[in-house]
Amino acid sequence: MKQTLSFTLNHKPYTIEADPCDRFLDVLRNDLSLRGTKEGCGVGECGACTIVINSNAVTSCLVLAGQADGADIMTVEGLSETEIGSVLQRCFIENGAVQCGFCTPGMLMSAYALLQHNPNPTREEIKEAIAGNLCRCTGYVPIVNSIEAAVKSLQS
Amino acid sequence: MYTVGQSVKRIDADAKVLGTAQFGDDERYPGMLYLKGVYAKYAHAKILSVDTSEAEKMPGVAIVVTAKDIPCEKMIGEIFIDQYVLADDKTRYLGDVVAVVAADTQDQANEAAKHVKVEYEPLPVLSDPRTAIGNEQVINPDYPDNICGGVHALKGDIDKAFAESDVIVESHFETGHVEHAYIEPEAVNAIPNPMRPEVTITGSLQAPYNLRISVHRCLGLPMSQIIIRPSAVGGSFGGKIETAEAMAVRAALVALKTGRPAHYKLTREESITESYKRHPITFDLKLGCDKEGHIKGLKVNALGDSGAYINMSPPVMYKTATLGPGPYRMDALDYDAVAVITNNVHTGSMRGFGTPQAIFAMENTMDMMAAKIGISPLEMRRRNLLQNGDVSPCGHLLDFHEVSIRSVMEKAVKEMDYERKYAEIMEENRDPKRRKRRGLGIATSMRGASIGADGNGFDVSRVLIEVMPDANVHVNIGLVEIGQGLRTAQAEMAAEGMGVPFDRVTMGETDTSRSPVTGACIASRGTMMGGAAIKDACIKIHKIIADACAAVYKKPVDDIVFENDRVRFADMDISFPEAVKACYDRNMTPMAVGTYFVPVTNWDGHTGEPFYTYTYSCHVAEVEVDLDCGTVEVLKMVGCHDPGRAVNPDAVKGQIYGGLTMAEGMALFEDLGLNRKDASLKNRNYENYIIPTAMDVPENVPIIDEHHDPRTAFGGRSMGEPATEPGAGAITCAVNMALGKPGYLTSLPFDLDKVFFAGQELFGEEA
Ligand code: FES
Ligand code: FES
Repeated sequence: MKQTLSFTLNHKPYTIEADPCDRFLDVLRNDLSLRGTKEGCGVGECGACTIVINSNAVTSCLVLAGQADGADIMTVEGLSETEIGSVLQRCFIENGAVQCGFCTPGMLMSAYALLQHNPNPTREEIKEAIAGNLCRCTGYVPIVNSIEAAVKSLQS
Repeated sequence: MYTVGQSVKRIDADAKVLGTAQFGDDERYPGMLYLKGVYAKYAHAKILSVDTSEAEKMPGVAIVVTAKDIPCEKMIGEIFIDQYVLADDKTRYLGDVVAVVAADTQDQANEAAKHVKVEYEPLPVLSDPRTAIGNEQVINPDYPDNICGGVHALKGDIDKAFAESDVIVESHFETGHVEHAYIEPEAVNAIPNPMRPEVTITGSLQAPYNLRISVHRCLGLPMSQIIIRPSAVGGSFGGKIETAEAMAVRAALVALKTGRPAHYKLTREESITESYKRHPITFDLKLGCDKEGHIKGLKVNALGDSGAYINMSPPVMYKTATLGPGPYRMDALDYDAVAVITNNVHTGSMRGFGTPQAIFAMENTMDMMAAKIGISPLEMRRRNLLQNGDVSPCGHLLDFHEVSIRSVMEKAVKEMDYERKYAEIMEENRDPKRRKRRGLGIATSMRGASIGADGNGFDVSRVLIEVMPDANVHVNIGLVEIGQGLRTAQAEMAAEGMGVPFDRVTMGETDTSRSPVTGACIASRGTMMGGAAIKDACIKIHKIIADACAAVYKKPVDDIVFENDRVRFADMDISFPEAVKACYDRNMTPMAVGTYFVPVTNWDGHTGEPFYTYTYSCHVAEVEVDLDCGTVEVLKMVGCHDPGRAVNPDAVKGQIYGGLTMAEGMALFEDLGLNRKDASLKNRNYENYIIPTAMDVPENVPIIDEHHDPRTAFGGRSMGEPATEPGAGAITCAVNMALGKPGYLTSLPFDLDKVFFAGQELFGEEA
């Protein structure tokens, strides 16, 4: 049963018709054609589908469309319009955080949520923040380095 | 100014951080159908009937296809043609697909797939390779003893070597299935051309030209009308070849029969069920040394589990047998590696291709020997490493490049501060009450570059380079970017080969209708083979431009040089664009296909030159074992590698970081939970199949130790596989050192349970 759902997505207001029991990941990818958010497992374990809802990083494969009603949502497509996001994107490129790129949108969103809450995280806190994002290519060290570089860059 | 050797920015990085990179599952086409496979209910069963009538009547369903709908041949394979695109007379493993449903939406396809009715007559399931050999139950009638091939590497007189040995160590090691665990599950699209019988296939495809052959074989289209265009590939590690190919043939069948685009992606559970894995191998080793620890001879029997389809098993066994002995000097070798067909999930290419398992077995045996002789593991290796002019374990005289393994290992142990730590750990581990115990492990490798003598005469690469009228150098190459940064490395080599700045070069997406047929991006051959073909194309284009310059400027061009965007000949010094203009002004075409093939090496099937050249690597690991909980914390890993010349050093380091982490997963966690009763896999998603996270990985250190290779075009060699192959050996040696007993734990992974019980056994319960 479709219902009307309203939310803010990447700083723009949206009103859509969707079944509140649909996965929000599918709403993004299919109904809104925003396919930067990826699906790697469908069970909340890989983090490829990570988006930010009300400033928290969440796995959108476990979010129901109904839960998005009234929420403030960010996906990778909105990142470059934010300061934190664009700095993270630049630092990911400069520090070797991107190989195949499939984990990258989710990684960026976890890092974005972290830096919103904690502008000066330790290396350990960075690792914890991306512990739910699996990457098979990079061995993580370059990703942690990238987020650290972004922290420095944002502070200067 | 040289481009090769610079860490230029990846050419695909912007799209990947912006989220605009298109992966297979991101593509949408008008009128697209969504596909869903119906999987085998039994790992081994006769298929008595398949009834699709009910499914066909379900809402949104356009078609249901089965093996009967395949117009030509029903099987595919890169070398051995034995893999059913759709199961026909029987099922051979639980990943076999019996039917594919295509519907307007994914939900409709999923629903209808449940209504395909299949009648089976179950057959005995063979899940243990040891009992499958010679079993009366035969899985593939062409292999009546269920053995599908192997290699017996031989050198010298093994009996004599053992008779002359002062110390003999015998050991047994086992490894299990390992999943590639690319984060992107397989996804393909097949788009029919409304004008002619032609299909374009996109998606997660590592080997486009092999897929083209498969579609040609099964669907009968001419090769020119099968266009393969890989999308961005979300990791592959050898894994997106045969499985993705079977999917692509099914999708193309649907597309051609319905005239509608077909979109086919796997869930993670389906991907783990259907896709092939790293070979489980059991090893029985016998190592003989003199009393100083100099190796006299090595004898190994290795038994690999091929699973239901042969896939790459014999070539994998080739690398196990020829590279498993490592970069060590020995008088005699007798290494027999054999693969057996079972009803388990099939096994095939995975980063390392039969060597990580063999190195794990060999290096632990080296540590056992070192302990018996009374020297440190480091000393044991120092006494046996190959050097310039030595003969390799298989009989290859190494007189053509720098045998850098000693330099590579010493750099790695220095970075680890191995000798100091080793003394410290040996001292602290003397306390029997100590519950947290550290250990160090070293593992080395010499990786044969590319396919090797197993493919003597077939190892070829091609590229098409076209210099446009605006002096843009456009490269079309079929060696696919699978995440490792190959496209960027190719562009760097093209810039250097052509003598132009990096930003003159553009890379076409791989497209089989535009790039000439080339061997696949496998076997650590992308950089080396692609580079040599690029060099050849550049030389040919230089010749065309030289002829044009001679005609236009009326000067001799025999000393022509292309460098730094300038073209110099006689007393002329013109820009590259001017020289290109000379070409077009004369109606000449600065375009060429470059071809490279590896020279045939001297290999008689057992002895000789198994590869053309080698990459030397060493991983060193430090771990801490907690006896009370069985956990192993990796404290640090160092990966030192000689890539010949690092085309893009940052990308090489990226390979090493990723390779170390993949090795950690193989050594400590990864287990698919094979049930030998029904050949099912328990761990089919990431909640149970545990791969390393950011929390598991220490501050690893990659080191590049360059020694340009005169046998490769730009001095470089590929790094994909070397980056991971020794790692599991290093970690497991470290765990066994921490347990105080080299070679104590023998089967991968060294997980919580095994380590905990080993601790109980060796050190008793907590005091
Ligand atoms: S797809 Fe949502 S966590 Fe993996
Ligand atoms: S870059 Fe490939 S999974 Fe992270």
